[in-house]
Amino acid sequence: MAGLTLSGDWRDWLPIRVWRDADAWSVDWCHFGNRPLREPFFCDSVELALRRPFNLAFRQNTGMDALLEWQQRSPGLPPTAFILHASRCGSTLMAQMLARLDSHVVLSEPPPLDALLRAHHHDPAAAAWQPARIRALLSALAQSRQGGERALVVKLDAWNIFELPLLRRCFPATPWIFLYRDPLEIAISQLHSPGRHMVPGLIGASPLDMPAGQAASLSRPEFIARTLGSVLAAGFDHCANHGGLAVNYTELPQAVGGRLAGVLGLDASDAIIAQAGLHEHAKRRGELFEPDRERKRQAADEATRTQVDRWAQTPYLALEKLRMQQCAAEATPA
Amino acid sequence: MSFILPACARLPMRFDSQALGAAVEALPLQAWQPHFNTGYYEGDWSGIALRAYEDASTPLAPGQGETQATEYCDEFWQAQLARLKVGLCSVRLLRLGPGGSIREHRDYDLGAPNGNLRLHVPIVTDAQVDFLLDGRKVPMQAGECWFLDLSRPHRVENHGGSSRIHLVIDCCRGPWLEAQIVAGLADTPASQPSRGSEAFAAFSAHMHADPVLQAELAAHEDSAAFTAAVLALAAARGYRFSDDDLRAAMSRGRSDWSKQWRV
Repeated sequence: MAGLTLSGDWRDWLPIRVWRDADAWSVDWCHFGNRPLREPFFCDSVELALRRPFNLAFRQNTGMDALLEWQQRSPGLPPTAFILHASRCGSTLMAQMLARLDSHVVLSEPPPLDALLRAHHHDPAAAAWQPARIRALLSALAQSRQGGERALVVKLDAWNIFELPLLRRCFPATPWIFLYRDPLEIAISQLHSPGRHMVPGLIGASPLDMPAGQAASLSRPEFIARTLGSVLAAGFDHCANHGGLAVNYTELPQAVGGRLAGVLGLDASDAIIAQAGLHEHAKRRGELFEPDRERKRQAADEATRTQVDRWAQTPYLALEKLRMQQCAAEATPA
Repeated sequence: MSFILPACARLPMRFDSQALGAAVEALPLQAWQPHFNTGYYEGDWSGIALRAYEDASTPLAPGQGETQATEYCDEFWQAQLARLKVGLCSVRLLRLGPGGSIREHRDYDLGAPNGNLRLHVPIVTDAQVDFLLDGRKVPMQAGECWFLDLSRPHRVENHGGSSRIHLVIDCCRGPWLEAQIVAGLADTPASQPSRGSEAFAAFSAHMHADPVLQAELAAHEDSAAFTAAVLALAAARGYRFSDDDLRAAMSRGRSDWSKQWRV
């Protein structure tokens, strides 16, 4: 991998990783040309890009200054909306519906954003520079690379709900939603096939961390229920205090073209294309968005029900109550 | 063990390269055998075993069990080897002919925590031989004794007109050898960029400032076609490097990406 670019021109390049080596933070830039990010996750798009021999031979490393300079030279689209979520509740489907649109840049759980949002958990000096670098990173990721893009929707990792106040400081004007689901249904899905934050220690330093040894002493259902409870509680707190829109899985997919259309930057024709994508997506994948609630609930054993009731039910009900209030307020003419 | 191996170190001890060269000359020509790893080199790469594994398929090949001196390990060679206060495994004379090259590879067995350590004593060499370790040229001179961590990527190119001959000694780990490595580190001359890797870096910088060239190369999906295109476009602009330089850059690009998951 070569050193600094001479021109500082990052057209066609995207930052795919930021990391800290000793005291310095670095950026790994990868060539994407004008290819839109249509894959379910940002890391899927990266994997495709890395299959090209060019991106093995000629990727570039820079310091963080390159991000800040590139933001000055070529500011990206400002974020239209953020999607935060409790996992397994339709956020990927929602991102995929939007990724079909030529008007939308969709960033689905980009790892460099997660790295910067959580930098202060292991680098105490980070708090001072996080807002500037987070804005510069998103600017680099949200370049208009095709020409017709006018909206940027960023879906974050489930555990990023704890960093929502920081995200709000970076982008105070950007609306955000918190997508969630009946916690028993999430827990069953996580038990069956755990996400990264549902395996102790896998995601690195995070507010989800438990005291040393505790995670290992818990049963799987209890660990999952506690983690889920923390995520839902943070989701509720932040929705209530930082103006987030509470959205239940049961409202999908209609809500995308309905009550969320404005927030997501969709006009009437966009909404139709996005909905069409839903059918194509469902056919191809054959899994998401079949009504699987009953099947999931029946699969729950007694231990899982007990743990979920104990740790996750209260914040879920609080979210539901908040959502009802928000829906009632939307329905009331101003 | 807390001892961390450097990429390379020039040990304090020296050998008489003239005497070693004369002893090599005295060995019968038919003693030279082609190296067993035929897929990894071009030109003449051959050797004579001075100590060999009893269970190896050919005298130059690695084995599992004990090693013992071969018929070629006469008193002179025994006296040379006796200066190393370590257990010896295989000991070979290795020759790389003019124009010959050994492709980039790693000897993973040498990287195991209790694996053997390899020493190189150049007997006949010159400035036209590039021994590249981690992409950088190790400035080995005749008569010196070098430890090289060959579990790292390395390759050899003989751009000169004569055969390069090294005495290559695999030793057991131990306090004596580790002390020698530590003692030698202080004045070990620094590795230097190879001519190929410098040309590759210069071409990279050129290419990064040229979006049209970038787009042309970035479009390739097939490695062989990409390699041919890079070498041709670079040569047309006066940058001379080999497909090994490009391959080394690509393997670095791959490992730079995957190392984030290594703890």
